[in-house]
Amino acid sequence: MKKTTQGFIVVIILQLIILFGMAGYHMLILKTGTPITLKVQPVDPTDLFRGDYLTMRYDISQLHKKDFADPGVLENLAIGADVYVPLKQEGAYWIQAGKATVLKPTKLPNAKSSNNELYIKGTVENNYINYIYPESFDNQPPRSIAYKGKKPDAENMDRTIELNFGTENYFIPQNKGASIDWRYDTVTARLRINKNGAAVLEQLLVNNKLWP
Amino acid sequence: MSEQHILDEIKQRYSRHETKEAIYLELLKHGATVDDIAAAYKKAQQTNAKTTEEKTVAILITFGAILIGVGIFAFVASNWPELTKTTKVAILIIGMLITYMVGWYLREKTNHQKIGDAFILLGTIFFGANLYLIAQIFNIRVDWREGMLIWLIVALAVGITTENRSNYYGSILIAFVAISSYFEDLFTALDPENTFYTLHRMPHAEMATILFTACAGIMYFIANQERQTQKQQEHRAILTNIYGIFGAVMVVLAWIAAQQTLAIALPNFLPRLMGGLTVIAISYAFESRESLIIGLLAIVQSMVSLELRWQHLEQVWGSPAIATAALGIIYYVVGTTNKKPPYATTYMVIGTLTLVGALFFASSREGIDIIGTIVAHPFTKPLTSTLLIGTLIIAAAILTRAIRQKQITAAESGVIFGYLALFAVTIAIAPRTPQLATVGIMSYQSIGLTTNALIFGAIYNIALLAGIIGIILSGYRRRAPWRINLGAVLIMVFIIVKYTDWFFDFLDKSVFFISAGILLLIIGWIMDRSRRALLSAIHRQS
Repeated sequence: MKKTTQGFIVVIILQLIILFGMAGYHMLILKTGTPITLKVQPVDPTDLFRGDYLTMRYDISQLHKKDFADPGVLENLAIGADVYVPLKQEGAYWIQAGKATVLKPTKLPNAKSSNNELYIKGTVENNYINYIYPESFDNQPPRSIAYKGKKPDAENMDRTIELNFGTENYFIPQNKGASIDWRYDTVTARLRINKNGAAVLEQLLVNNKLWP
Repeated sequence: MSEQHILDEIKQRYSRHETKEAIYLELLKHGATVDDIAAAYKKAQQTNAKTTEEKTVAILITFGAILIGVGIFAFVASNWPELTKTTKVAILIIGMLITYMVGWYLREKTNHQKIGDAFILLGTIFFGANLYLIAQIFNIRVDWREGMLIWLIVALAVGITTENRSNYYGSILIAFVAISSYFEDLFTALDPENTFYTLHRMPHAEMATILFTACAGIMYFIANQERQTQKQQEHRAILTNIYGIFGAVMVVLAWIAAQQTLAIALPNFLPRLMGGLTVIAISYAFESRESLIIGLLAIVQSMVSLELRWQHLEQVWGSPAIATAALGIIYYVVGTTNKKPPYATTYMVIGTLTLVGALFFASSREGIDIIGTIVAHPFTKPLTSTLLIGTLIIAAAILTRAIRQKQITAAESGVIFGYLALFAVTIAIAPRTPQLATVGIMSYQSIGLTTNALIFGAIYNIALLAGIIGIILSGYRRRAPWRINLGAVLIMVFIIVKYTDWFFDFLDKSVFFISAGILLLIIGWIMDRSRRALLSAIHRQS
C-alpha cells in the first residue's frame, strides 16, 4: 500500500473516532442516565446554519452566595470552572437539594435518606458582584459613584454565578419556533444525568406533552 | 539554441506578458531561426491554454464541491423529525466515508486527480458538518469554538496525507473563522476591567491549549514544506504567508489558553509576552517574516496591557502612551541594524506604526489630559517609573549602539533622540494635575484645556507631524518606497484625526480645510524637491 494511502486511512480513522466518540458518549448517557425534569425559561434565536433552536435557562442556572457550601471561593471562581449542584425530586420537577460545591462531591447530601438525589455538573459562564441596597433603591447613589475609589462593604456584596450545564440549547425543526406561546405554555425539559453529573438534554415538553 | 531552450525562453517571456514581436526579436538576436521560434511559440501557446483550462476546471470543481457540501449541511440542519438519532448519525458518517472513498478512487485508480481532490475536500467539509450536526442531534451547546479547531486539524491532516492543495485552501477559510471566534480572547488584555477581574476565562481552556498548539504546529509544518518547494510559484508563496500569520496567531492564542488553564489570576500581559517571544523565535527558525509581524504586535499588546494594569494599581495615568512610543523606537532602531532586508523592513514598519500610534494618542485631547498626570517619582510609584525610565534607557542604549556602528543616519538619530528627550522631559516636568479644566463633575469635552495643556498639545502635535514628514523624507534618502507610501497615508490620517480631535470645536471648517490644503501643498513641494535632488544625484553619479 502506498504511503499516502496509509496516512489517509489513519486520518479517516481519527475522524471516525472523534465522531463516534462524541455520539457514543451522549448516547450512553441517554440510555443509562437518570431522567429528571427541570423548569425552563426560554428565548428564541435562530442559527443560520443549524436552523432554529431555543436557548433556555433553568431555575438552578443562577446561584448566589447563599447557595454555596463555601462562599469564600466565589471571589476567585473563574469562568469555565466546574460547579456541582445537588438535586432532589419535588413533585414532577427536580430542584436544588442543598449547597453547591466547586469540588466533585464524594458523597451525595442525604444520600442514605433518599434514593432520589443526584448532582448536576455545570460550568461557570459568568461571575459578577451584586450590590445589595440596604433600603429602597431610590435613596441610593448611582452605582458608579457608590463604587468610585473604594471597595463596597462586604455585607452589601453578593455574587451571581451563572452556570451552563451544556443543555441550554434545544434544536427544533425549521420554522416551528413560533408554535409555542411562551406567555401561556409551561415549558419543561427532560434531561438524563450520569453518575458524574454530566447531563444530556433529551426532550422538551410543553404543557407536559412531548414537543414538537 | 536548442528547441527546448527556445521553448523555455518563450514560456518564461509569455508568463511576463511580453508581446509576440518582442519575443521573436529577442530570440532572433540569440540566433534562433524564424521556423524554430514559430514552432516553439505554437507549442507554448498550447501548453499555456492547457494550464489555464486545468486551473479553471480545478476552480470550478472545488467551488462545486463546496456548494454541494454547504447544501447538504443546510439540508441535514433542518433536523428531520422522522429519523432516530442513531439513523441520523449513521447517514452522516456513511455519507462522509463514501465521499472520501470516491475521492480516493478517482485520484488513485483513474486519471481524474482534480475531481478526486475535490471529493476529498468535500469529505473534509462533511466531517466539519458532521461535528456540528451530531452536536445538534444531541443538543450540545451552540458556541462550540473548539469544534472549528478540530475541523481545522483534520482538514490540514487530510491535506498533508493526500497532498491535496484544495484542502489547504479550504483550511484557510476554516482557520479564519476559528481565529475570528477567539477575537475577544485576543483583546481582553486591553480591557482595564480585566486587569483587576482576571476571572474572564475561555471555556474548555485545557482543550483549547492543546488544539491551538496542534494547529500552529501543523500550519508551520505545511508552510515550511511549501517554502522549500516554493521557487517562483506565486500561489505557494501566498499559502506560506497566510499560514505564517495564522500559525503565529494560534501560538499567541495557545499561550492565552494555557494561562487560563492554570485558572489563577496571572496578569494578562504575560501570555501575550510569551506568545510574542515564541513567535519571534519561530519566525527566525522557519524564516517566516509574516510571523515576525504578529510577534512584534503581540509584544506591543503585552506592553500596553502591563501598563494598563500598573497604572490602575498605582493610579498613574498616561504612561502606556510613552512606554509604547519608546517600544516603537526600539523596534525601529533594531530594524535599522538588522542585516536581513525583509526582517529589517518589518521591524521598521511595525516600529514606525507603534511610535506614530502612541503619538497619535498622546497628542489627542484625552492623551494630553492623561499625560499630565504622569508621576515618575521612583519611590512612590515604583512600577510605572521603572517601566517608563527603563524603556527610555533601553531605547537610548540601542540607538547609541546603532550610531556607533554607523547603521543609522545622523538625521534619523537626531529625530529619535529628540523624541526620547521629549518623553523624558514630559515625565520629569509634566504637572501632576489633569490638564482639562473641569467644572464640578461635568465632562471636560466641551470645556477646554488649561494653558499648560495647550503647550503640551502643541508640542506633541508638532512632534507627530514632524515624525510623519521625516518618514517621507527618509524614504527619498534611503530610496525606500514603503516609507514614502506609509508617510503619505499617515499624513491623510493625521489631517482627518486632528480635524475631528482638535479643530472641530474652535476652528471654522473653512480655516481648517485651507490650512490642511496649504500643509499638503508644502509637503508636496518638499517631496518634489527631494525627488529632483535624488534624480540629479543619480544623474551626477552616472
